[in-house]
Amino acid sequence: MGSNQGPAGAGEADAGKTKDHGVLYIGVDLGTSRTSISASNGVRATVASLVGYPKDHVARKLLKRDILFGEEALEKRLSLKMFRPLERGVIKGSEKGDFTSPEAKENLEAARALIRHAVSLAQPRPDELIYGVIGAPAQASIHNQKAIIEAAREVMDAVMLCSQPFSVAYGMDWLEDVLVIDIGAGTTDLCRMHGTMPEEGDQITLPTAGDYIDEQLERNLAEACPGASFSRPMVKRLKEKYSFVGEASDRIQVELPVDGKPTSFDITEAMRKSCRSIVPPMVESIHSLVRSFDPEFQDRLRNRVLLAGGGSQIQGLDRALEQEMRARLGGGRVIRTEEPMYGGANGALKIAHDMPPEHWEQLS
Amino acid sequence: MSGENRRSLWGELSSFFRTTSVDKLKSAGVGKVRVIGLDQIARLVEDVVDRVVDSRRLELEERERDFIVAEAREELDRLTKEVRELSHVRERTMQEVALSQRRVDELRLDLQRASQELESAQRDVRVGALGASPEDLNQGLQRLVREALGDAGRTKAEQLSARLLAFVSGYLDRQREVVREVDPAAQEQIVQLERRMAKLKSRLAQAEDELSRALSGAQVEPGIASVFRGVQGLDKGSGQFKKKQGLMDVIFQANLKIQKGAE
Repeated sequence: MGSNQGPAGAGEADAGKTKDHGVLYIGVDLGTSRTSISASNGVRATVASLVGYPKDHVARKLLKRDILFGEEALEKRLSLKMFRPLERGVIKGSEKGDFTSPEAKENLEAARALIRHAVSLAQPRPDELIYGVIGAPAQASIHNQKAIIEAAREVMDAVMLCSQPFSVAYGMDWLEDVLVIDIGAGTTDLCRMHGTMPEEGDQITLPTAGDYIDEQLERNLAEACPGASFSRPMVKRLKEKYSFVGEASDRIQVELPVDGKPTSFDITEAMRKSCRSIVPPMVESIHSLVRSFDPEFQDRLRNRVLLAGGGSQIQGLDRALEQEMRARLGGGRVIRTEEPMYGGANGALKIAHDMPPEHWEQLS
Repeated sequence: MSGENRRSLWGELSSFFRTTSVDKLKSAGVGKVRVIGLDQIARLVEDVVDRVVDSRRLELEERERDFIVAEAREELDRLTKEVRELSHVRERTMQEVALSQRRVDELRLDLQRASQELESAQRDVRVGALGASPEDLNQGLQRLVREALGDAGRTKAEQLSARLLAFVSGYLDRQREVVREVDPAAQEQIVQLERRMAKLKSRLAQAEDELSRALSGAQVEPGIASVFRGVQGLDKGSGQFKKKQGLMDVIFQANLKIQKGAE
């Protein structure tokens, strides 16, 4: 077991192998919607999980690049062939663990490019060892895990995967009797922590997450805003800006085009209804994980529900869950992570740091 | 101690003071008080700090001092060397960029010249092919119309039409003949220029790619150094050490299984 070392220069007792300029640890949260990284050189960055390739030679000349990522790709999407390589926690097209279809192959390549880009955001020095931990979706298949590892190995000296909700809890030092709810874009992962590594029975994955809210909102907006035209990215932006459940502090008034003319609409109810749609399945799953837990610790578990991921930013969600839990479980306490964007990446970074040197060496 | 530090110390001390009146002191039975100025207190604290720092400095053994100095010197040498290397790399890359930029400029100029030549050759061929300018046709028609108007009373419309058609058809036949006889050398020149332009375009694209690569190389930064020089690991003093150790082992074993399988 290695001992903790201070900053560069203090390495007399360094354990394991060293390079001229040390070891860079990187924690990666590889999400359907966003990919975030936290690194031991102080860099933190996040990028939308979007990859775009120029559609033709003209577009390539114009964009002056072979590949674009994140918001930049979204902005120039008309000139690009776009990929959102992850869907419902796995690489798109590989749901059955098969990467032979053209769709799966293309998305796998895009996922690889995205991982390479995410690591480059950490601005590693070329002469440093890079050890990374990637928080992957809890239900990722073994084939998907292998694909992610292979992609990461191209840019890291050694890499490990861990379940995303676990890394969130580890990052906060909550290892026992805590129920983590990680609300991503593709899935909502619920994971019960009880001091050891969570097993299959400790985890529930729901498809009702950010993308699901977008679908609902699109449908509800069509009803609430007759004649208005809007795209999915517009719906997503509205959700990110105004999402809430419970009581609205102000009415949500937005402008949407009707026959090309900006028209004002009140979307308060549509927004509330859409965001609220993820609460019942979540409470049902909380109930299921609590009631199957050791009865002696059930009370403690329901009072330590940790809300993480981008979806945890929905205003009033913690209170709405507590309210539902009161009705179904007789009470409960929900706490939000302080940094929904970086909770997973920070936890993965902490795991990378705490991993014994000999383990890293074996995987190098 | 610097003036700034002394002011800061002064401020710190002031925060501990409380104000009271002479009457209050009298009523509390105090007849005499000892007074010490803030400056004096600050000076005393300063003396103590200096003495402690001095004594700590003396406590360092000579061997330790030498070790620290040697380490610092080594680090400085390393950093200096690194900066020098990076400057060389940057210089080389900048030279490559300048060279690529020059090549791209030259190729663009060549392409522009070739394009102008081609345009001029095509114009010459067009003029040559017509033999006479299109104005000839206009003039001929005008002449015919004038004649037709002059004889308007006697010339029938059919006659005029037939004459016009005969003229135009004759004119076109003559032009077709001229086009067939166009200088084959001019045609060859056009083909050559077109080939040259295609080649120049391809070389320009290549040079632009090289320039773009060189530019991206020039923008490569050395990166941001990690705060760790060596591989870390769980701190034995950390809370829940045993539990975390067990978790690390489980994560590692799971990953070993995946990666051994992947190899």
